[in-house]
Amino acid sequence: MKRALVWLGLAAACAWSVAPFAWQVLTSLKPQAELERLPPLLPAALTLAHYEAIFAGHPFGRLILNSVVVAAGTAVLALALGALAGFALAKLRPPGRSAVLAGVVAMSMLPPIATVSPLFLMVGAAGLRDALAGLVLVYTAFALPLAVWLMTQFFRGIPDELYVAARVDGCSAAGAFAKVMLPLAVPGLTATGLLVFILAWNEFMYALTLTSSVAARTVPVGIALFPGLHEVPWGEIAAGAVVATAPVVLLAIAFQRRVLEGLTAGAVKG
Amino acid sequence: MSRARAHREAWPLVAPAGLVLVVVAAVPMLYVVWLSLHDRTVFRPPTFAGLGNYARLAADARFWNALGNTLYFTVVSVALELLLGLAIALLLARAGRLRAAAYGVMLLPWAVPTVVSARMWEWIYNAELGVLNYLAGARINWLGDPLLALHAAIAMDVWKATPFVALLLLAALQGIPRDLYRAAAVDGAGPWTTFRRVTLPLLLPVMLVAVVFRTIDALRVFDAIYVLTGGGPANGTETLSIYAYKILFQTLDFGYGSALAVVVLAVTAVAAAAYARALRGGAE
Amino acid sequence: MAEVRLERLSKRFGALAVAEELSLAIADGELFTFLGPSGCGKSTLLHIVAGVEPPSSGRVWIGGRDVTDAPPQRRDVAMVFQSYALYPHLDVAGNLAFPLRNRGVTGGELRAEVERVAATLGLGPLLGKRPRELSGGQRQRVALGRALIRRPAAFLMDEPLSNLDAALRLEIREEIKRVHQAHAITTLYVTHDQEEALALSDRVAVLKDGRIQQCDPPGELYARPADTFVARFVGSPPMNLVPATALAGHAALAARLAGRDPDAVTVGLRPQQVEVHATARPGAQPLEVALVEPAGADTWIIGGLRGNRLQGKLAPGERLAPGARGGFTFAADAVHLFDAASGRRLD
Repeated sequence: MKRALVWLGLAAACAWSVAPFAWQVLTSLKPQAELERLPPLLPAALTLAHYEAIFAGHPFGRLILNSVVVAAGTAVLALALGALAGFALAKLRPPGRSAVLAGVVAMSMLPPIATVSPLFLMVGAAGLRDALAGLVLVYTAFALPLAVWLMTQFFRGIPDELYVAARVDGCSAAGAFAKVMLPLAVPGLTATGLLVFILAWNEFMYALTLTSSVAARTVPVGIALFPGLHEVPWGEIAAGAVVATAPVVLLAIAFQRRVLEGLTAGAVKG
Repeated sequence: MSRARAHREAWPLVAPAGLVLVVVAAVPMLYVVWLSLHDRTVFRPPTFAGLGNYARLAADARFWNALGNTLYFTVVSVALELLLGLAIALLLARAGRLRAAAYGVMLLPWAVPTVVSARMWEWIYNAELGVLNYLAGARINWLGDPLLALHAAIAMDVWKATPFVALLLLAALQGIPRDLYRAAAVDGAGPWTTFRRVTLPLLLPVMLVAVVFRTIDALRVFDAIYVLTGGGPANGTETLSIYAYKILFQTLDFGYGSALAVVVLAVTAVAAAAYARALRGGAE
Repeated sequence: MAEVRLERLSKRFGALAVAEELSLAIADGELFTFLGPSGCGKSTLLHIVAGVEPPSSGRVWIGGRDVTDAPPQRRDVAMVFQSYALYPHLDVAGNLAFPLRNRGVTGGELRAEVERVAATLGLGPLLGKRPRELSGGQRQRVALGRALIRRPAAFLMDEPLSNLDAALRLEIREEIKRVHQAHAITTLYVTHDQEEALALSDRVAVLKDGRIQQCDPPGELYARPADTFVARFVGSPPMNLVPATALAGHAALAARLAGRDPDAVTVGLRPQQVEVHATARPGAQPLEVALVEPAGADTWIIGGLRGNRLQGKLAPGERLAPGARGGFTFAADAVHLFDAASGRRLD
């Protein structure tokens, strides 16, 4: 009896999570005529017209490319810098590291609105406005606190003795990092890389502010700026939403174990 | 000394990350405070204004409206996320084989870009063609009434963030040693007592972490509301971040807008400091 | 010359002192053990000698060189860990080769060295396996091999046997002793197991709260412990410590006590040297039997002597039950005398 209740509750929770998506996917496949009235809920026929429209009528393909470049670039950069710093803080344990970690955590709580106006001015002055490089740089700083925190936790999980052994066996600190620590940190690197990618892909405010044309615009901004002048093209918005979400959702599901590790690392151990 | 060697080896590895953070995060933070002390619009060259912007802020009814909206949004959504997240975590803990599948499904709302989520819900809340009105058999203008719209926004945020809270709490639940439950059962504790005396106290540190993450995210909310309602109707859903953004990039008043941004920063900092104190006092 | 010298070494973690002004000279080829209770910081001492932990003050000399400021890779020491610390992502051959690779040894010469060390420790058939495929004893052998392959100036062994079960422990202990005798490399060994320390070492330093209570060859440590801490820590079962007044009237004791105030003296008697009997013996003192512990050839009797706990060996052929009254005797030369207040040895 209790079993049934638990499964019922879970089914409800899952339905609640999935239903808006399902509706959105359905909407994206409904012919335009059927979109203008409700009922019926389910379409008589399915169409891919909206998907065609967003790639033909809007430069959606370009937006996706931009997002991929920016998110991947941010992930690579944040991982590189974050892994180095995380290793140093976790294994080399310099004096002052708790202050640094506290500072890192504090930085992660920064509201984007606080830095968006100075960055708008600074990025403009540096000639990086409406450029992917500018976004990557800003996003890296945005993601670094998370990356440093996670990598510090993951390196803490690797036994100290392996580091000591590598040093005694003749490695310098950097050598021990490259030859022993890094290979063993691959799960942590994957989890962190995924989280940073998803974070960068989903970011909106900086992208809205620091880009002005399709040259550098990313998918979230494209989705937000969608409506035409007269009627709202719900079908196309739905198609855009599905396309915008698919990569991150696929990544999250394919690597869900890693993602969960990343989400709970440190937060549970405190 | 060897202490010096520790410094020499470690800090060069931390420096690159530190440099990026200083240039792209710390400097702008100082810069925004600097901007807030000036009168700076596109019409005139910037002049020093001292605390003038802050005085204006204190007398600005729209600011107080935005502050009120933000605080209400934060308190209600975080409370709901915590309760629902706990309930779902407890369910997941007993799920057995279903758990893996449930994980994947529950990650979806978290993975979705906030902007996309807002558009999805915008469509659901649509007065004529939205599926919510269809299922409820009503013609409620969810996004057209200020109070309704605020709650619609809260519901959307709860939908998006609850899974994250649930998964966090689930990880903590799974970390509680089984033997504690066995000992409680042997000592004659019923399910509610066990929950209150064993589970809840051990979950408290992680619940605190979840509350802090969610509070800070809710205080600085922007993306979802910007796309869902743009801050309307009648500024009913206008939060601090949205108001600040509009002042900055629509009226191009960088001085006043920065002052508003500094307020958001301060509110977030206060919440973070309260967290630090609570964590030090409560958990350890 | 691979002498290791510690000069006024101190290490403090906040208020906790792990080493206080430690000065020691460990001779070339000596197997020197730091013995002490768990958690007293012995591993930290090894880390300081290895160079991965800086001392709060003091200096470290290896082979006549002041290495206090040198990084670990330039100190020419090898380390063997309690948890083996084998590189999980490398196979056995890769683990053995790692230290030599870091010194630029490659190709045929590298292969030859790996095979040489593998042969010494019987690791030949395991060369292609990963650490997780090996048993505890095999892993520890690989760890030994990795340390040996460089022919370092000194070995640092951090409780290498603690993770092994009892039978394996003896086997690897023999291996370590054999390796030490064959190569005569200066070895600093750390353990909390006093039996291990006595069996392996040339000299043992007993540590308490960061200070050396006694530093002597095992025989000395056992026969003439410098204070009550060492007396109870070394030797199993632990030495009995009773106030001299409780043993009043014991002829063997009276002679030793000559001229001392019994109230100020604690008497130490090793259980092996206390004989307990059921039948009456001349000069025996009464003992109320509390527990009887059979231990193979011997039987231990634990009982009360005027409110003090006393343990002794049951005389052959006799039998005693808990609750009975027996008697015990000991020889005059079995008596150790300690100052009641400070615990230090009195003779």
